[in-house]
Amino acid sequence: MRTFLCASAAVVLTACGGNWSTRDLEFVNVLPQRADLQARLPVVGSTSQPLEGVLTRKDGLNVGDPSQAYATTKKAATDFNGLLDQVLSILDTVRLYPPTTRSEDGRVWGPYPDAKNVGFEFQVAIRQLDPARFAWSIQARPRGGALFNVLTGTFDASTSAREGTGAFVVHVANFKDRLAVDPAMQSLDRIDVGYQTASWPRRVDMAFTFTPGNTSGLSVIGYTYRYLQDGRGALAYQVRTTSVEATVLSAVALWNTSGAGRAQAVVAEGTYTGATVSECWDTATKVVFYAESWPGGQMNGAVADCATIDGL
Amino acid sequence: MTPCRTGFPLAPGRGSARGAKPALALLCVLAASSALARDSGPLHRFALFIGNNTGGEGTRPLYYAKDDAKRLHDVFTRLGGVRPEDAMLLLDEDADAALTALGELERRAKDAKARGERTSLFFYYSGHAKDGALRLGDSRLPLESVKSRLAQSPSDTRVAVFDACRSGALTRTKGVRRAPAFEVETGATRAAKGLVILTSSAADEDSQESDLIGASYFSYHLATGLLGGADESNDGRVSLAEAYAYAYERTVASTADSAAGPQHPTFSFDLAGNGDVVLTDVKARREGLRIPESAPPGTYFIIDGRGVVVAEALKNAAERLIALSPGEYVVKRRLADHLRLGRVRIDEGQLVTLDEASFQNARFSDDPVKGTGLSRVYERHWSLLAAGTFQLVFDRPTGSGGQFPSAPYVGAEATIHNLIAKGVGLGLDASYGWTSGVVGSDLLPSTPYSFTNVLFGTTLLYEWLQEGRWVPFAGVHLGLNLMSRSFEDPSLPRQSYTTLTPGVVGGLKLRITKTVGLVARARVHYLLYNVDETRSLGTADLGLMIDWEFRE
Repeated sequence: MRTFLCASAAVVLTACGGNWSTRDLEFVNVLPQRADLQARLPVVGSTSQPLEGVLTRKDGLNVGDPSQAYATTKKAATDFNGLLDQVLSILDTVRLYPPTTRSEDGRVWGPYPDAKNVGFEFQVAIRQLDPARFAWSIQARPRGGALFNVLTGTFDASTSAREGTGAFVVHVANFKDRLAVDPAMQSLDRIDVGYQTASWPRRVDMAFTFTPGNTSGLSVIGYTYRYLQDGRGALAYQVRTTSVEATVLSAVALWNTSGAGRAQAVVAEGTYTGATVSECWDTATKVVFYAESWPGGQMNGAVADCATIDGL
Repeated sequence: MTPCRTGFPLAPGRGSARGAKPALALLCVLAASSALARDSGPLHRFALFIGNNTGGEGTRPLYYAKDDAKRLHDVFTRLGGVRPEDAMLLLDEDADAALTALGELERRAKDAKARGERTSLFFYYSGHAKDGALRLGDSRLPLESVKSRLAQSPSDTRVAVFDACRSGALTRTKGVRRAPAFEVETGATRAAKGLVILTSSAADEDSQESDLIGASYFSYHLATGLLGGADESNDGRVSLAEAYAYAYERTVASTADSAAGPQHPTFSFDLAGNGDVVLTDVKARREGLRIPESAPPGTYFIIDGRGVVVAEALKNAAERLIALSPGEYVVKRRLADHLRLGRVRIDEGQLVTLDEASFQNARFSDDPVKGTGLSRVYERHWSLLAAGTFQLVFDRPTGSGGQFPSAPYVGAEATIHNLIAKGVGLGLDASYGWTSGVVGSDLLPSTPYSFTNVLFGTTLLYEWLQEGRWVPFAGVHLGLNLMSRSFEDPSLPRQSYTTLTPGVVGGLKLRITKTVGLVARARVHYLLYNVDETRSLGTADLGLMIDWEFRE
């Protein structure tokens, strides 16, 4: 009889439970999602031109030429998304699993071992600081050791857990010598990402802090991406170069729903500080206007042919 | 008194009929010569009573066939002028034993006749009959041979009563499947003189038993009629015609509302030259209950210590005599708005006069009739039910923080009835529910999802009035819910929750046919949620169902 009762109790206990939790959904929504932050550049035509920066161009462009500004913007967006993918992919994985630990104000996933980093364990934790503010982290540790931060973030759920203002830091300096990382990150100490998804246009900022004295690897210093729900978008980014004429360049590209866009690159630091190159492209990513600001610079096409893009 | 119709289509002294008019005809025809028969000198009576609850392969055991035989044996030996040594009672015996006993009684009757005595033979059988044979356990006694033996019997009058099935397979019926009609009109019977055959039901009907009376309906009413209740002429003697008419009327009335349908006893008779037969002489016995002229008219029910009605008498202006065995009885008279109850004690050889004035008023809820009190295994059978239900969850809408949605369900349920006791059933069910909606909270925007629940359950239920057209039931139910929800947003995980939900169930079944019924059912469950927090929720599901009963 005792065996029967124990077996019955075991059946009852094991038969109950699950991950049915609306609170879990609130917590996982706090984590930034790639779909909300990724740059979405309209795919128009089929450009096969090399993704070279505007400043690598030696000669000016004529109307009807393939737009190099579009190609450069597309590469910048791809790089931007690639970095986000590296940082946020682990969060997408976390979403698919129920938390390991639930408390009234928090959820913890892990620590889980990681196949890419043998001997290390990862843990994702989210804590609700007040009704609308959350803090989250991705931490790692050698098995049995102390945890160290990989990512730390905050989110202010001004509208809902999915929509608000957030920021997170990738503590590259903490882990680049211990964990497997992309070679592009070896030159960095940290990446700061800020975003706002509560209103339109939405915004994502990404800034890189380089290891002091490091001049290799990434040339981009940071990005700012804004977009509207109809597909209009803008991507600003800063690039450092080894050229004394233009040590730091600042580029802004805007596009509308049809794919037509315009871009302007400004020398932010260097002997040519203030010099600009402007370029507009049509829906087929062909140049409709090109202008160089320095004396003797080229200007082809009419600025009136450039697409009007506002609201960003 | 109902007048006899002139021009009745049956020839006087011979007939075969079914129904109230034939019963009346029998009464009229036999009554014409009954006085002569009653004054024709001493009659040596022999009787054989056979009761067998089993019918061998392909039949289900009966519960009261032996009791029926014992009851009739008791009535005839006490009141029917059958000496104990001339009465044979065979319980659960086989066909060979029955034929041997019949042969022995025939031999005795022949000897008596040789001595110049008039003789009669009463043959009673209660049990299974199928495919043209009486089924006594695993042995068979061809009906034709029984009838031939009776037709050729040396007795002056022979009365045979067969309380056996004709066909069908319903609750408490005597038989398990359709069988050829039980033909009582054969060449042998038509050629015989002084042979009466009574059957408990018509060729296309079932003979039914009842736990309430602890007997088959027909044998019960026949026996109670023979105690004096059937004495229509009020002469203190119950004739064959009176007993049949009484048993017929009450058997039809008792079974009219049963699931198996009304049961109509039949008769076949040929008493030309023999007149009516007095079966019991209540007056001569002088042991029982006398309802005097002064007692208020109406129907009096005599109830034994088990709560079973053992006799009933319709009292008019004249006094009535009811033969009863020694013992204590409750006498009940039912009025429009209450009962009148009294107690009588009958000692051996004593005829007690009822004093209705000493009765006390009682409410209907205090009715002493309880039935046999038997709780042994009732006929087991099973049913299959197709259900369409709607489950209400006692919770906020999921878009406002509620956990589980209300949803429609379809499912099926199999139930074994009378599993461990009469009326007790055990069911297993499975159903599938689905819906869609949004989940939301202060921090969660409205998030569309699809919900499914696979529900397995088991029900322990009790059914009342199983033989009736309306069958109420109630019980407890334990469900195992396998719930899941998936979201349109692919970034959100599929969520599941598995839990046991204990609850109660109640409903009402309406039998449309013998096997098909409509069921209205309600269930209320307790639902414990314990992931985000511990919450006690509840569900109620309401449904309409179609029910098929499967019986052998």
